[in-house]
Order: sequence, then structure tokens, then C-alpha cells
Amino acid sequence: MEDVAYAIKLVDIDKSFKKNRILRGLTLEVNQGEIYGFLGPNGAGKTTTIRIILDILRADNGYVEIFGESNKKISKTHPKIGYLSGEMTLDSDLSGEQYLKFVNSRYHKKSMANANFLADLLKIDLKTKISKLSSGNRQKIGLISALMHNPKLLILDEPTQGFDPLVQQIFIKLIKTFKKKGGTVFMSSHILEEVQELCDRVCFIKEGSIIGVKDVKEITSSARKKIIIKADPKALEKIKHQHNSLPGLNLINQSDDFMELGFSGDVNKLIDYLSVHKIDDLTIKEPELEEIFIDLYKPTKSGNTES
Amino acid sequence: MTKILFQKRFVILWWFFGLCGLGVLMMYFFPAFKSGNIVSSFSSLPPPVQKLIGDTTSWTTISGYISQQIFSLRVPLLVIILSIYIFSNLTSVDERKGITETSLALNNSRSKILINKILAAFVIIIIGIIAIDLGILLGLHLIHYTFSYHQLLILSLNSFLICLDFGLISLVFGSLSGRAGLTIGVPSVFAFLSYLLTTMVGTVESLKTVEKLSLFHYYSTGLTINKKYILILVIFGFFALIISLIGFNRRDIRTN
Repeated sequence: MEDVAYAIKLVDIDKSFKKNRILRGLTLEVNQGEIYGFLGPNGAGKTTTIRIILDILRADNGYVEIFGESNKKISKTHPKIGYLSGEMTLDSDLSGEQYLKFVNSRYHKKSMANANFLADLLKIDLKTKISKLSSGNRQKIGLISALMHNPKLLILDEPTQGFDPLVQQIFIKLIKTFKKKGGTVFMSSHILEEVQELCDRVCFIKEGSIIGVKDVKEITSSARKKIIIKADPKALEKIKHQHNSLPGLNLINQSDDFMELGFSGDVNKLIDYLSVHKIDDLTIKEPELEEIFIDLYKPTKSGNTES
Repeated sequence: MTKILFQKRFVILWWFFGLCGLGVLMMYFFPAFKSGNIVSSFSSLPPPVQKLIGDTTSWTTISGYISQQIFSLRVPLLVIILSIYIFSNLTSVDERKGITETSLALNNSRSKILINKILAAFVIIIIGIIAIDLGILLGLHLIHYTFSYHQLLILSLNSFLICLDFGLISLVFGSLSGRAGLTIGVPSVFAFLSYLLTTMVGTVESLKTVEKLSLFHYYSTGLTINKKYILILVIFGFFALIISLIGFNRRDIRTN
């Protein structure tokens, strides 16, 4: 581990393209060993932030440090980084093997065995020219190139774009293994299930500013659970009239034989409360990141999103 | 650099055969020029046009023919096109495609990326010049003439420098802006105006005051080394390199 506790530190980052201000004083810290989700709607500034971290774009103000070093010291920072983007362009006139050999030459030149292992795992033929591969298979080559040199930090920008569900599962396993080995991950994704499954913390960004950083475990334990009840209309009516008697229970939605409630508090009390009613089926769902995301970014009456 | 040369192998190969073929073909025409029939037809042209064409009597000698017919226009014109194409392709086109972004995300500094591109372009231009030289030597062999290797080397060096400098103008605009239009447009227009200026200066007196602004003014097709002109072309190229490195290191990389 490095001397500093963080893997990535962004301080007061501003970035504008002509008159369009993309990032506004963005400050964040990603701890070593954590998986940090970076979420926001399209145009919020996620990819711009990632490109600034990688020194592809230059911030107008502020600075970036990777493991305590300025991100401009490429020879010190970049060997520790693996990068994968959903929009990544690879040298299409090379074969997968030729490209990965080139990547290998950029690092310690001992990564080809690792690359071949990952290629077998992802079931990709490295002899085929990249231009002849499907976008999903090209993305697999990108994933191999990001992981093959055993980086300490993975920076992922919509990484599973183009992956089928089976490869997505392999991807999730690979990232979990990477974390177990002490690796740090900074990832932006629109697939919130994936973020919820993988991330320790999530950062929500809107119009270039951070509007919240939340611990995923905390979100799932403290936020309201969703209670879905199936019962005959009479029983549902009864529950509806009495639901205020249990603190923390609120009605979300109701139809003839179905009711959706929100609940925060002791689940045992909820079960005691429901046990006196005749119900056909009961589902208790953990709160999803998607709901929090939609809640954070839902449009207000003025047409803006809400923070 | 090796990766770039490998990726451009077919471009290099086709240009190699094309330029080599041109060299052979041009030499194959020499006996016709030597007989004087073609040259005498130019004597009927008006004096200003004759000035534009240059000294046609030298075309009847092998050294005059190679320097004036092959190296005064054809070689620089074609290799400048190659040079601008390669520099534009390696800078702005790679950047627009997102290749530069991917390279930067790997363990590559901006200077390293640019220097590798420049070295690859150097090698490709040198291969272009060598192809022409080989074509000329092959052509000479076919028509049973000889020409000094030393003089061919001088002509090749001058051609290399002028072509490289126009390519480096493309590099400057590619490094400063990343815009493909500028990397092709600006050096092409500059090359055209430079050539026009240098060729017209003999007939239009007023152009004499600005003739030094043309890079072709420093391009010698003489058979001896003009050290001053070579130095000017080298210094021009050096400054273009420095500007490119500074510019490329300071700006945002264009992404796809």
C-alpha cells in the first residue's frame, strides 16, 4: 500500500468547454481498497472527470492526485492504473494479441500470461483483427488490457457497455477478486444494479457538482424497504385504514388485490402488525439504488432536477 | 514507433513502389530529352514562360535532368503530399478516432507519444526518398548511364528536409489544435503558395522582396551542398518540433 490513504484525490476541479461549465469545484477522495461508484445523468460530467484524472483533459482549476502523486507524473501514476471505457477506441488494424503485446510493452512486459488467462476466461479469440470483432468482444480486449498488468487502481467508465449478461457476471467476479487483492476501483455506470452489487460508496454528481456521497450498505440498511402485499380487497382496505398505527409505515400504491408500502424500522414489528391481517403473499424488498437515484434527480415543478 | 510502422506497412509499401516506379519511369524518358527534340520545342515558348520552366538546356545532361526534371518538382511534390498525409494521420486523425486518448490512458506521456509519431513519420519520409533513389538507380542501369551517388545523396537530403518541414507544419497544427482540416489545409496551401512564389519570382520583380518567406527558396536542386539553406531548413524544422511539443503538452486531447 502507498503512504497515503486515498487512491484518487480531486480538489476543487473546474472545467469548462468554451462557455459551457462542465465541472464546478469538484472535490472527492477515493480510499484505497474501496469500489467507488460515480453516478449521474448524461452530461453530468462523469466522463470529463475521468478524463481529467487520466490527464487526457486538463482542469481549468484545481488538482488531481493518484496515490499521493500528481496525475501529471504519468510515469509514476499510470503504471498503477488500468482503464476501461465503454467508448474506448482500440487500434482496429491490429489483432487482439498484437494490441495486448503492445500494452504489455508499456508496462513491465510480464503481463502476457495474465492476458492469455483473461482471454480464456472471457472466451475471446486473440488472433482475430480488432476491426472484425463485435463491440462486446472489443470491450473484452479493453477489459483484458485494463487488468493484465495487475494495476492497483481501475478506472472504469461505463465498463459493461456491450457485454452480454454472462460476461457481465464474469466482469463482476473479476472486479470482486480485484478488490479482495487490495485493488481500488473508480467506476461510472448507468447499470445501477451493478453499482449496488459492487460499490462500497457512491457519489452522485449533477451539473458538475457533487450532490451526495453515500455508503451503499448504509443506503440499503437505513433506507425504506418496499413492502408488497397481495390480499383480497377487504383485507387491503383494512390495512390501508390502520397503517398509520405502525410508525414508519406509509402507503405508496394500491390496486384491488395489491398494495405497495414503504417501511423503515423494526421488521419484527411489521410482521406482528401484518399477522393480524389475512394476506395471500408478502414480499419485503431492499431499497434499490435506482430509487435513490431517481429521487435525487427527479425533475421539480420548475423543470430542474432536485438535489 | 514500431507499432505505427507496422500499422502503416501497406501505406509505406504502396508509396515505396509508386515512388520507385516514378524514378524508373523518369529515367527511362531521359534518352528522349537528351536527343534535344523535347528541349528545342520549349525554345518557341514566350520568354516569361521559359523563365518559369527554367534552364531547359541542362535537361540534356544526366545530372541536369535528375536535378531539374526529377528533384525540382516531382520528388518534393509527391513526398510533401506523403509527408503531410502521414503527419496529419498520426496526429489529428488518430486523435479524432480516440487512439491518442487510449494511448494516454496507458503508460505513455504526451511527449513520448508525439516523439514516437514524429520518428515514425521521419522513417516513412526517408523510405519515400530511398524509393525514389532506388528507382533512379534502377532506371540509370536500364538506360546504361551512371550518376554520382554523392550528388544523389545531396539532392535526396535537400528533398528530405523540405518535405519534412512541410510535414512539420502539419504537425504544428495537429499538435496545437488536433483538427484534421488544419493539418492538411494549412501546409498544403503554404506549400502551393511557396512554390508559386519561388517559381514566379523570376518573372515578377515585386515578389523578390518576399521570396525568402517561401520554404522552396531554401530548397536547392544544385549538386553541391548549400550549408546555409540546409541550416535554415533544419532550424525551421526544429522550431516546429518545439512548438508542437509545447502545444501538445498544454491542451486538452480531443476525444471521440
